[in-house]
Parts: sequence; C-alpha cells; structure tokens
Amino acid sequence: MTTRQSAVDALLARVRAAVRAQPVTVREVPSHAVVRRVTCDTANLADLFATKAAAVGMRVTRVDEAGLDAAVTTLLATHAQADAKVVVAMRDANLAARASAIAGTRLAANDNDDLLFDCFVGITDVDCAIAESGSLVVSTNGRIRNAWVTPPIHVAIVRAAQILPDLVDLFESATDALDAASTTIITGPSKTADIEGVLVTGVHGPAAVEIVLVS
Amino acid sequence: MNPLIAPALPFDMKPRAREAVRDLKLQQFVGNATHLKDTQRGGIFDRDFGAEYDALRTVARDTKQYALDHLDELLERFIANAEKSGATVHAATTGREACDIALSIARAHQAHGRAQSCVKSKSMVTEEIGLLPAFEAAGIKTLETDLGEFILQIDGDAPSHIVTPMIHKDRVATAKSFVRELGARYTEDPTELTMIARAHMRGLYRAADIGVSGANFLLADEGSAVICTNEGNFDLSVGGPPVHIVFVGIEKLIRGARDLAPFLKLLARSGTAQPLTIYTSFVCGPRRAGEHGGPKELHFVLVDAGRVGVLASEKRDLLRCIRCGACLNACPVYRKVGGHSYGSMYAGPIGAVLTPELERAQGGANASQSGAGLANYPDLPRASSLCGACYEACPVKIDIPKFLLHDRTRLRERGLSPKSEGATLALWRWLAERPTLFRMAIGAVRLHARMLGQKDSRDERAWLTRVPGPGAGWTQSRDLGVATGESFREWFSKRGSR
Amino acid sequence: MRVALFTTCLAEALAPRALKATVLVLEHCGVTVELPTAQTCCGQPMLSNGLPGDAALLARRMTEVFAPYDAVVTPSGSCCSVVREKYAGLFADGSRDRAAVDALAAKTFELIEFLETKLGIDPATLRAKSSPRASTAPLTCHDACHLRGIHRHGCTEPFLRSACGGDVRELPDMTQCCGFGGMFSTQFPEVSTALGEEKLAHVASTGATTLVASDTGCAAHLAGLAHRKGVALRVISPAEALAESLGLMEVQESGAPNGGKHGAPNGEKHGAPNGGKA
Ligand code: SF4
Repeated sequence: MTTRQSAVDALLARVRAAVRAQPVTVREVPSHAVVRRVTCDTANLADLFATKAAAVGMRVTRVDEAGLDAAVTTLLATHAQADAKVVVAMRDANLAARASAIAGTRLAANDNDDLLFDCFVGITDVDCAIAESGSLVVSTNGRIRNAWVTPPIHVAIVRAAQILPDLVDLFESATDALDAASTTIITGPSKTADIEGVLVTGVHGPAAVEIVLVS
Repeated sequence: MNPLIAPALPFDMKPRAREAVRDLKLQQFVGNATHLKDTQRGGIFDRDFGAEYDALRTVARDTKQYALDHLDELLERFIANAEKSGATVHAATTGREACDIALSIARAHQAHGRAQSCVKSKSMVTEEIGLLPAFEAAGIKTLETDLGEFILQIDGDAPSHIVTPMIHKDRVATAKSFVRELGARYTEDPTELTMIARAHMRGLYRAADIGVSGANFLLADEGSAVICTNEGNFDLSVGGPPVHIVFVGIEKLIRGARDLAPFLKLLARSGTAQPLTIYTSFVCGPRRAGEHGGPKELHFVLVDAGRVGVLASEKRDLLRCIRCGACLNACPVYRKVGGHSYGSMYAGPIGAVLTPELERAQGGANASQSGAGLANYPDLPRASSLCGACYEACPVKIDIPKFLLHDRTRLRERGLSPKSEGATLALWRWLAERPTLFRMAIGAVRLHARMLGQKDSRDERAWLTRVPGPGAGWTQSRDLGVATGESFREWFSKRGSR
Repeated sequence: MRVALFTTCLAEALAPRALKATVLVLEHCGVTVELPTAQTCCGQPMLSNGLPGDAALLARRMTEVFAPYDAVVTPSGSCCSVVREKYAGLFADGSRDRAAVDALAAKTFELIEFLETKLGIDPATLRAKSSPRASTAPLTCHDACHLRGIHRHGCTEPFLRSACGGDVRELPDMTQCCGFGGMFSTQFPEVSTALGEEKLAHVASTGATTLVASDTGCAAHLAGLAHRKGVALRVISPAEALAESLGLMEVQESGAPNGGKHGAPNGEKHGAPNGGKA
C-alpha cells in the first residue's frame, strides 16, 4: 500500500469514528421543492431567460434560425478588428461550420489551448441555459476548454429549446453537461468589485457576453 | 505566515480592536461595504424567495447536516468516483502534511531544477495551511489570481473578509502598490487598475506549471468539485497548467449535484446579492483523451486540519458553513473591528467560533501551539454583543451565538475569564437567591448613586461617572444613570391593589 | 388570567419608571397586575458569561416564583428572550426542571408582544379608550437585538406608531446592535462605545428628541453615552412611551441633560395615591 493510500484510509477511519461520536440529527435529505422558482408552466422560458440574462449584464440578441448567421456576423464586426483572432468551440458541427465560415480568415485553430490567449472572441454553443437565473451552461463536451472564458468577448448561441426553467432542472434533467471534465455555469461577464466595491467587468474572463437567442 | 492572520499565540484581540475602532478609513470602508451587502442580501431574498426564504435555509441546513452526519459514506463515495474520473486523491491530517503533499507533486514535475511557478485561485484552506509560504520556501513562485488576493499579496497584506478579502483597503493603496510592484503608471481608476492586473496575469497563466485552488463543494456522486468565482480566475488557473491541485476541507462534501441547487442559490445571494456567482465551475477529473486544454493531472488534497475533531464534537454544526460571508457583513462587531482583529483568516462571527475550535482539534499537531484552542484565543468568544444578527443572516442556520456562549462557559471553566468578573457574578447569583438581601443590594446601589452621583435636573436620577471593579469599562466612555427616587416596589405597594 | 409582572433586576435598579409605566399600560388594557415579591434576577448575566450552573439555579427559582400565574410580562426584551430561548438549554430533555422552564417560557411575554399577540389589542384602538396627549415630542425607536430570538425584532415601532399617534420617526439602520451586549460593554468598551455612537448619530439624524429602547440595558448604555457626551436625548422604554401618549403618565421634560429646565416629576398623572415624588 502506498503512503498516499494509507493516509486516505486513515482519514476515512478517523472520519468514521468522528461521525459516530455524535448523534445523527438528520436521517434523510429534505425535499427540495422550495428551491425551485420557475417551472415550464409559470413562465415563457425564452422571455424570462432573456430578461434575466440582461439583468446580470449579458447582451441578448433574439433572432430566428434564418437570422442567426447575420447576427453573428454583426457581432463579430462590432467587437473584433479585422485581424482579431476568433476561436469557434461548438459541439454542434453544423453551427461550427457556419460560425467558422463567418470568422473566415480570423478563425484560430481550436486544438491548442495556449492559443486561446491570443484570441479576441470565443464563439460557442451551449449545453443548455437556465431561465431562472439567465445562465449559460457550457462544458468541455465537444468544445475546447475555456474558449468561453479566455478571450475578452464571448458569443454564445442558445436555442430556445435548450432553455431549462430552473437551476434545479440542470441537476435533475437528463443533460450530460455534468459528465464532462469541466462544466461552467456562466451568469454574466467576468466581474470584480474588489477595489472599493466598484464593479469592473472583464477582470479575467470576458468583459462582454453576447447571447444570440435563436427561437 | 502573515502575522495578521497567523499571529503569535495566545492572541490578544483587544489592541487590534482598539486600533481598528480608531482607524477612520477602516471604519468607513468596512462599515459602508458591510452595510451595503447586508441590505442587498435582504433585498434579493425578499425579491426571489419572499416568505419562503426561511424554508430554503432550513432545507440547506438539513441537507448539509445530513452530509456531515454521513460524512464517512460520502467521503468513501467521493474518493471512489474521483479516482474513477482519473483524479488522484490525497489526505492530509495537518496543514503541514497538506503542504508536503503539494510539494511532492510539484517535485515530480520539476524539470532539472528549473524554477516552477503556480497560479492560484482564491481558497481559504490554502491560507489556513500556509501553502504560499511553503511554496515560496521551496522556490515555487505563486501568483494569487483573485484580484483582491493579488493586491494583498503584492502588498504583503492579508485578507480580512472571507468573500471580499481587501474590504479594508482602498484604491489609493492599490494604485501605489501597482506603481511600486508592477511598474505601472499611477492611476486610481478601478477599471484601469483591474486591466493592469489582468494584463500582468495573462502571461503568468500561460507559463504556470501548477494550478492551485480550493473548492466550494465536493460532489460524492460525481467525484467532482464545484468552484464559485466572479472573476473566472479559477477556470483559467485550471485550464492552463499541466497539473492542478484542489485543496479542500472534508466538510465541503455533499451527496452530489442533486443536492447542490439550494446551496448555489443561497451562496451568492447571501454573500454578494447575486443570483449565482458569475462562474460556477465543475471539475471532474483531468482532461480526457482527445481533449484540448485542462490539466493532465488533477489532484485532490482532502484536508483535515482540525475538521475531524470538530465533526466529533458538539460543534459539528459549524462545519455546515459555506463561507458566504453574510455573518461578517451582518455583524456589528466585525463592522467596527475589521477582519484582522480576529487574528485568523476566518474573521467575524464564524471565525470567532471556528478558529479556536480548529485550533483545539489540532492540539498537539504543532508543539508550540499545544494547549490549543481557547487558551490561544481567549477574547474571541467574548467579542460579541450576542445580538444574533449572524444567526439570522446565516443561510445554513448555524446558531453562532449558542456556540459563543458554549465557549464562554469553557473559558470560565479553564480559568481563562477575568477572575473579578466571575466573583462579581457569583456574588450576584448568591444574592439573587436571597430576595431580601437582593433588594437591599439594589437599594445600596441606588443609595450610592444618590450620595455620589451627579443629580439630574430632569428626573429623579443620578449619574455615576466612575464605577469600580468589573464595571470600570462602562464609565470609561459612559455615565451610569441610576434612578434615585421612589422605588418601583414602594410605588406599587403604596397604591394598593385594584 | 393572573398576570405577573417580571420586573428584572436591572429595571428595578435603573429604570423603575419603565416598570410603573408597564403596570399603568396593562391596567389601561384591563389587566390586573400582580407583583411576586420574591423575584430577583433571571440569571442572564451568568448565562451569558459562562456560568450556566449559576444561571440554572436562578432559572429554577424563576419557575417557582412565577408558578401561580397564567402569564408573565416584562418590559425588558433581553430577559424575556432568556426565559423563552435559553432556559431550555440549561436542563436535560425530559427532566422536571426542563418541563418547568418550558412551561414558564410558554407564558412569558415582552410587554408589547403581550398586548399584541396575547391580548390581541389593535394599537389604534388604545387611544380611543384614553384621553391621549395631543402630540408628544418626536420619537424614534430602537429594538433590542434579543427580540430577534422571539421573532419580535422590529415590531415595537409599528405598534407605537399606531398606538401613540404622534411623531414617530423611522430610525435608519435600526437592525444594527446598539453595542450594549451585557458584559461586552465593559470587556470591549471601545467597540461597544463606537456602536453606541453610531446609533446616537442615527437617532440624531431623525431629529427625534426621545429614543425608545426596548431593553433596559440598551437604554442605560445609550442614555449613559448621550449624557457623557452632553447630548440632549431622552431614552425611555416602550411602556413609558405608551403610558405618556395615552395620558397615563406625565411626560418628562426633554432638553439639555444638565442644567435644563426642571422637568415634571416621575410617576402617574392621575389615580395613584402617591404617584410622583418620593
Ligand atoms: S457561518 Fe453562515 S453566514 Fe457565516 S459564512 Fe458560514 S454560512 Fe455564511
């Protein structure tokens, strides 16, 4: 047995004894019903998501399927100089191809995470989104890690059908988002208020998160 | 380690508290920030949970208590699942052991004596175990990536709040240290300062050999860790370096993602009045085959450092704490004395009960600190007006005042409380069992005031400007008004019953 | 219903007027008040300062003293919360003492709470039954933190606003502790004082000249601080504020703490054979 293994076993043994040293006060995890705030019936999910995402400082552009490419093109034109590198990190191959075409010559390779630091825009799709909090859920399932946090601009494409009502649904639904090596729930642009409580965005992650919401 | 949060023991809180109360800037920064956060916390819970806020807290309390009551099962499950995901799990009994584990991981990756560097995202437990000094001693240069922690690091300062670590500092101090340490041009603009720090850190992320972080939750079902940040620095520090080490206290375990929602919904609302932290990141094992980015090795260092002892004690409840900082923001004493007065990285109400307890549970681990616990922090249990604001604010309903009282009893038992005060209380109790004597004693106080006090022109009261014995602290800044006219009992009996 | 007044030792020594007012207000509400003379101290100072054994002795005494009564009413928020919240922890589950303190806790009330929840009095109707004073000096109200424990924190002001009718002003940051905290005030005098000064500053910002504080200790702390600083502020209990506004008691002069005009004497306005000066 390695020393590492024996240390782990020793900890387990001590924890076992410690647990027994006091009476068990909670035998069953209580119902979490009160935790849920939103259900499919209580809200129009796309509207609520758009409102909540805006409330935490992300920008939302609502389009239909036909308007998607144009919206992404406009966002790139707004945010990225002609020579700014763009990384596309998509699980959806079709979307990836379309976004890559829009990025054109600015497209960066997405097989080297070190290069992410040279990119100005990361375009991703999402595993799902959460209406209640306006959050995006992005995992490393089919995406290069951190394409959504390293570049200063994050463009996220969300389909209305991907919106879950409540955070609770992320943990109860059948999505495989949490099976990935890394999953991030994003609820706004990177932010700090460490200096005198003044809010500054873009401290480590993106200063702007642009959501294209496709209905 | 920084003496601000790892002071010489036994720790005397009073001089620091006195100094803090006189520090007008500190009063202003800490006072404003804590009041604001406390008010906003109330507002967001009212808006989002209304009357169900209390029920939500009860759910969180019981869910976390369940985890503690079954921590052995959960720990076993976590270890198995984390290993299945490809992570390596270590266990450390003491802070020193935890540091040694990290050092040996670092050494295994060292190429021919080349100096190594580390990027670290915010973690209370690494402060607690003294990881940075250990890394520095071994020549590993560590970058604190949380902006607040970074500013404290380059200033040789220490965190004074568990969520907003530089609550005690202002932009001017930051501007000066950026000029001095980073060669930046002088600016007091928080946005510009933040961008200077961002630019400085970007290159360091890319070059780092090791990433280090703490964790907010460990999920037994999934074998993964959950880390909450607003800046995104955790994602960057885990994404780049080939090795990542998560240091985590064993009390962070919950059953799994199925139990996570109440805590996530409470944590950011309680701490910073946000619906969720900007980034809630899940890490499950190292990077997988064919993936780009992410650590090739992921290590969990499960830290005991007194926690198992707390688990076994009647203070098990304290381990429910999710480090949201709400009790600090709500605490009148914290607002006045600031974090450094607590002599620990855990300041405020939770720190006042947790610090001596972790210390006690580790007793003997460090020879110079044996005896441990309250003997080393005799002021902490007393530094409270027992106002109960912390209990009211706590998302997992830790009854902090109850534990403060508990500690006051132990102080008394160990002879660590002022003797004269104990004698006065014993006399008081003795008199209180003898109603006639008790009334005479009250009469004597009133007589004393009548003879020696300053008469009040408005009512039948006299003001004492000096009180002897344990009451001396009172008249240091206050007078004592004693009613000298007809006593209540005289009045009551004279008017007869009706 | 036999109602006993739980005077508390601090009020007997420092604030007999609050006790008189409590009696007058209760009587105004049709309650006959009895005074168990053997009562002394509830044990709060021992309980809060590491002497639970001593506190238990006094808790047991309390159960005996108040055994004959159906309700126990006190003007002091903190002593009330000790009986209600803390006594149970002094005795083992299932013990006789535990049953006794539980019974005492179930019948012990802070005055305003008693009026509102036990008697079911609508404060607005209190004035109708009296010859109320036209208007009192502007007042503001600070609730004792201990009322949190009995879920009455923040309840005093609305009651007084409705019952007194007069100029009741909202105290900014009311929820922050005044810094009294029992022995905390002598162990950490600087911190205690700083909190008290902040409270006084908030009081001053309202323009109120009378502060109602729902605990004798908090009142003594704030009044003592104001007196030392030469701040003109009258600090009274909710019972006194009620008794005054309902015309059951003379209003004391408020003004400079020293050298001000001589105020009206302590005591009842009408009805009592020996109200007023000793
Ligand atoms: S004790 Fe409660 S309020 Fe304080 S930090 Fe911990 S969880 Fe938050």
